[in-house]
Parts: sequence; C-alpha cells; structure tokens
Amino acid sequence: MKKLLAATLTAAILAAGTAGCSSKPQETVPASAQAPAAGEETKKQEETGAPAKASGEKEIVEFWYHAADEKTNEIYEGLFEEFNNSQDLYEARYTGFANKDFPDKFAMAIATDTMPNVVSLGFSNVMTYVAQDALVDVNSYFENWEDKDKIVPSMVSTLKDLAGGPLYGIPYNYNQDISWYNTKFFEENNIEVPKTQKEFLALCEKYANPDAGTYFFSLRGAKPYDNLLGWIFTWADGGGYGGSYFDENGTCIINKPEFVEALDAYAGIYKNGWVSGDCVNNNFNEMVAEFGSQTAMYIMHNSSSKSSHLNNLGDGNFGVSRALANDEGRYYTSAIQPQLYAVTNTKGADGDYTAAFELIKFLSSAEVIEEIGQKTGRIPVNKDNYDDPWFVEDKYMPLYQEIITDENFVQIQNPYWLTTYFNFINTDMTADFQAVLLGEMTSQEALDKWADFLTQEQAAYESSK
Amino acid sequence: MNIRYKRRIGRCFWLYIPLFFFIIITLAPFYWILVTSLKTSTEVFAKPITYWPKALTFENYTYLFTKLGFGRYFLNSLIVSCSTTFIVSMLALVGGYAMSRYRFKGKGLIYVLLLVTQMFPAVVLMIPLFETMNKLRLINTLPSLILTCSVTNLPFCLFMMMGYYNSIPRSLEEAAQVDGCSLLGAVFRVLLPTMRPSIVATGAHVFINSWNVFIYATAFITKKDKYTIPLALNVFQGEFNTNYSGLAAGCIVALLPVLVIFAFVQKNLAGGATSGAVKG
Repeated sequence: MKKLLAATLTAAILAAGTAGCSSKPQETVPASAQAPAAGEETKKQEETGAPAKASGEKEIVEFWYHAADEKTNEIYEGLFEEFNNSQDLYEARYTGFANKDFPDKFAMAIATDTMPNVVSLGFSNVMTYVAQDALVDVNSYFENWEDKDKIVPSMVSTLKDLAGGPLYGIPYNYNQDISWYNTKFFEENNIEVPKTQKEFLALCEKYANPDAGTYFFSLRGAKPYDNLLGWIFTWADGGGYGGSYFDENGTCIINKPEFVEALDAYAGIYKNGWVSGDCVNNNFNEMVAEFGSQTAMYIMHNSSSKSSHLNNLGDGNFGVSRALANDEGRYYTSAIQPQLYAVTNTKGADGDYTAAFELIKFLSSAEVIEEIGQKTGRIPVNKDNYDDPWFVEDKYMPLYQEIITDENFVQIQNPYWLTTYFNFINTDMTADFQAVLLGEMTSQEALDKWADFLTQEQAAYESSK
Repeated sequence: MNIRYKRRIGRCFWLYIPLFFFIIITLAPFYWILVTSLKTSTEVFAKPITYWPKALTFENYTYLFTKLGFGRYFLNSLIVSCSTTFIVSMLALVGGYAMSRYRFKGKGLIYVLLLVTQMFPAVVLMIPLFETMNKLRLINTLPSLILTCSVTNLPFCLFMMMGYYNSIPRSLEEAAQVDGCSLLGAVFRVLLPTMRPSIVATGAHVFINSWNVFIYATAFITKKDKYTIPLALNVFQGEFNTNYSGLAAGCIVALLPVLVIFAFVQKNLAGGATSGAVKG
C-alpha cells in the first residue's frame, strides 16, 4: 500500500515536472529580461550615464507593484504588454510583490541601490521612503503633463501637504472607509442598515448569539487603526478640531474625555460579548472570513474588500453603507489617502526621469484606471472615469463619490508626515488596543500613551522643519 | 475479569484511544487543506460548514497549472532542492569524515565557526547575501538559491554526519585497509553502506529545508519564471483578497514531494536521525 502510494505520488511529481518543462506561466516579461538583477538595469544606467537599453534599443523602465495577487498580476501584465506594444521608445517591465513582502523588498532595494524606476505605494509609506531619499519630486513633470487637470485636485494637494510642498508621486486611486453588511440577514430580520453609532450598538447587542456562534459585528483587534480612529473621532465629533489630531499648540487631543468615552464604547462591544472571542486577534483576513462565513453580518472596512466578499458570499448577498455617524450626523474617516505611482531616486534629483513619468502617465490614464478599478473595487482619481458607464452604473462607486462631497463627511488627518506614525499604529496601537479589550489597560491609559507619543513626535517634526 | 482481558482494556485505554486522537489532531489540518482545495471559493465560507465538498471541483488544480504556471514553479523548486541535497550531502560526507577522523590544527576553531553560522537568523544575512548575489550576477537565477541553501544547510549537516562517523568504530575501515582497500575504498565500500540511514536522514533534512526556503527566495527572485513553490503560494494572499481554495490546492501540490520522501525513507529517518547521538 505504502509503495503504491509512493509510486502514485512520484508519478504525479513527474507529471507536474514535465508540465513545468513544457508549459510557460502567463508572463509578459520579455525574453531580454531573463535574469537581470532587480534594479540592475537602473544601476547600469546610473553608472554609464546613458539610459539602459533592451535588445531593441528601447529604454527599460522597471516597475514594482506593492500589493500584488494573482488577479492584479494578470491585470498589470496585460497593461504592460499594451504599453510596450503602443510605443517604440520604452520597454516597461512589471514585477508584483505580495503586500506584506513589499516593504522589506523595497527597503533592501534602497539599501543596496537596486531600486526599480517606478513603484506603486500606499499613502502611509510615502514619508518613510522620502526620509530615505528614495523618491523623486515629480512636480515639474506633473505641471508639464497635459492631462494633469484630470487628476482630482484634492488627491494631489493631500500628497503635497503630506510632504510640505513637493509631489512624491501621482495618485491613481483611493479606498473609501465604509461598512459592508449581509443583505440576506438584514432582509430576513427586517433590519434597517444602521446609520448612527448608537443604532449600531443596539443591533450588536440584539443579534449577538454566542450559543449559535453568530454575531452582528466582527471587530478588528489587530491593526485596528482605521476602524478604531474612525469610531473615536466620530463619537467625539473630532474633539472640536475637525479631523485633526492636534490642537493649535501641537498637543495631541485624542485623550480628551469624549475620546475616552468613545474608546470605552468601542471596547465594550468586545467586553460585553457582542462579538466572537476571536475578535481580539482578528486581522483583515479573519474579519473578512467571519463576514464571509456569516458568523458576522456587518463589518467596517474599505471599498477594496469588495472582491473578497464577491468570492466568499457571492454577488447580490452583500451591500454597502456609509460609515456610522454620530448624533449630529457627522462621520469621520480616513478617505483621501490615495495610492500613488512614485518615481524612485535612481539618478539623483536632477536626473532625467522622462521614461519613468511616461509609464506613470500611461498607468494614470482613464482607460487603465477603469481596468484596475472595475476589477479591484478601488476608486479612481481620474475625473474622466466619473462619466464612464461602468462607474455610473456600478453598484458602489456613485456612493463613494457622494461621500467625498457629503458635507457630513470629515476627513481624519492622519499624521503620516511623522515617519514613526505608520509603525506606531501597526505595533503599539494594536498591542494597546488588545490590552484594552482584554481589560489589561484602561481606555484612558491607552489614549494617554498614544497622545503623549504623538505630541512628542509632532514637536520633534515641527522643530526639524 | 481475567488478567488478559484487563490488559487488553488497559492497552486500549492508554494506547489506542490516545493514539487515535493524536492521529486525528495531526491529520485534521491536512484533511481540511485537501477538502478546501476541492471546494469552490464560495463553498469555503458557506454555512453550515461542509466537511466534504457539496460540488467536488478540480478547478483550483487546473487553475494552478494552466493559468498560474505552477508546473514551472514546481520544477524550479525541484531543481533547487535536488541540487542542494546533492551538493550538501557530498560535502557533508567528506567534510564530516575529515572532522571526525583527523586531528589537525584549528579543528576546534573550525568547529566553533561552524557553530556560529547557525546563530544568525536569515533576515540578518539577507542584505549582505543580496549584495553578494547581485555582484555575482546571480539575482533572479536558481543558482543563487542553490548556493545559499547549500551554505546555510552545510554546517548543520556536517555536524550530523560527524556524529554518524563518530558512532562507527575506526577499526572497521582499518580492517578494510588491512585487507587491501585504499582509504577512499574503505570509506565508500565499507563505511557508506553502514551509514546509509544516516545519509538518507541528512539528505531528507536538506531537501525539506530547501524545498521550503522562502526568505532567501523573496530576496533573490523577482521574476515569475524563476519563482519557487513557496513564493508562488504567497501570491494567493493579496492586500484585501485571499484565494483560500487556490492556496489550499497549492499547498497540496507543495506537500507531494515531502510525502514521497517520507514514504521512501521513513524507516531510515527514524534510525538515521539518532544513529550519531551516542558514540559507539
């Protein structure tokens, strides 16, 4: 029996190996790209002073995508093929990295001077890379771009504000913080989608059924920042400072009594047993799995998790609603934080980055953004897309656009200009929030700690200006 | 109740029942991966949970090999693992003999140096190794992985092999030499057959380590046609989307060679892994 099993498995391996010899993965990297080091062409270019050329005398532009999966790889590979076929000057090469690997990979590329020419980045990482002198100010290229007015101005200005003037990339889409709910459950129980935090808390209490293992809500305990900050800013109505973390003296306000009350209410959802006990460790995957398996009927996340819900629940079985509002009807979220295409500093500040910017222009065009937005659920920032039938007829996109112009929506001004902020919200905030949920720390203690840290960091930032 | 009957009940209670639960606990995750790989993505999350797919599908496996080019990744992993196993086994075989049988100046220092190499976590070595591979123009090539896996596995395997040699009395090869064998002849004709289980255990250890190598692969390989299986599996987990059924199918494929190795070498493994533990 054992030998039979071994023989069968060996045959399977041989078959797979043979398939490997004969089959080719769907790959658009040209043959000339056979085994160059990451960023090697870029380095060559820097050393010789001449642009690196591929076999057909085209200038090579290497691009790294920061959040790749099978789906986005397929989309981008197709787009790069299209770009390469559409002109004779440049040969763009695409490499996709899983989101969790990208920061290490890019950090290593910076350290070893093997960066690609263009990278896709999340808003939260920009200043970390600027501090390492890895990105180039592309403002002059942007100003000379004939289609610059098509990019939503607020997205461009938020990037400029982040860096205090320079433009370290071109925004191409953003995520809107919203809530997802299970339509079947809501219909069966004749529930109206909650609009306010208090309505929501009542539903959490009413529909928590630990015996059946089902709950109304799935709370995110790990990396909780977007949900958590949205909740406390909304509950506290921004503490009187709009969406700012700081008062006029640069003191962080998030430990004011109304914020403490907000965090108590939020942590109470867990402490009261209105969500599953696992929630304390729920990261994105676990939270979405609870929603997908109908353990929970309502989650707070952003627009980009649509494809997960489509896979898990199927089309038509989930709906979307605005983030929860306070009693005044206002809601605070981190929305205007676009993803961007950035040019890396491979030739010094005065180098010629025309080729890199040409690729960015192509990737920021309405047609390309349509392709990406339609398949991934990310919201475009190219105004031409807003009149496209796919956008207008999409189930969700018009709502996202309404939110951005809604007078009750307030943007939380996350201090991503502080280079320590991203690390702080990922590590310290997670640990402290979990401690609050488990009763090892009070809300006041946690918020005092966060406020102290941010006040100090902000003071250091101001003094270094 | 006679004593035999009591013994049988005792055996059942203390041996078979715990063993049964142990097997269930050990095999349950593998069963779950297999079942998940045969489900559609919607059924993975369906409630009530299905312990066997309602609609059995092999589309995840088809997807792996037709769309994702998993055959290529599988072959890459196989090349890296087999090459590394061969290189490390050969070097450990001769190196281990030298360390075990000869006295030479600096032997203690070499011993310590080999031990020290085991104390660095892979992440610490990533940047210098990347620089080295880049200068050698080996980035995005399988030799970069073969070389790295070989040098990182070699010290431990040398220790393993040294222990095996130590457990075999020197008189055995001396007797062979008295009978007219050269030194190499004595090693290859007399020692090696005795050490077969130990060599197999060392080889299996290296193969599995290099089959699963991930950190170095993320550092050295960026081009898809050079991906190994662990890198390819990583792609199933996107920023906001995880293809669980595809990932499960990929895991099953990744498990195949390890299962084959265990099916062939499990007898040798049990004996070989401990044969050098006590000097004979």
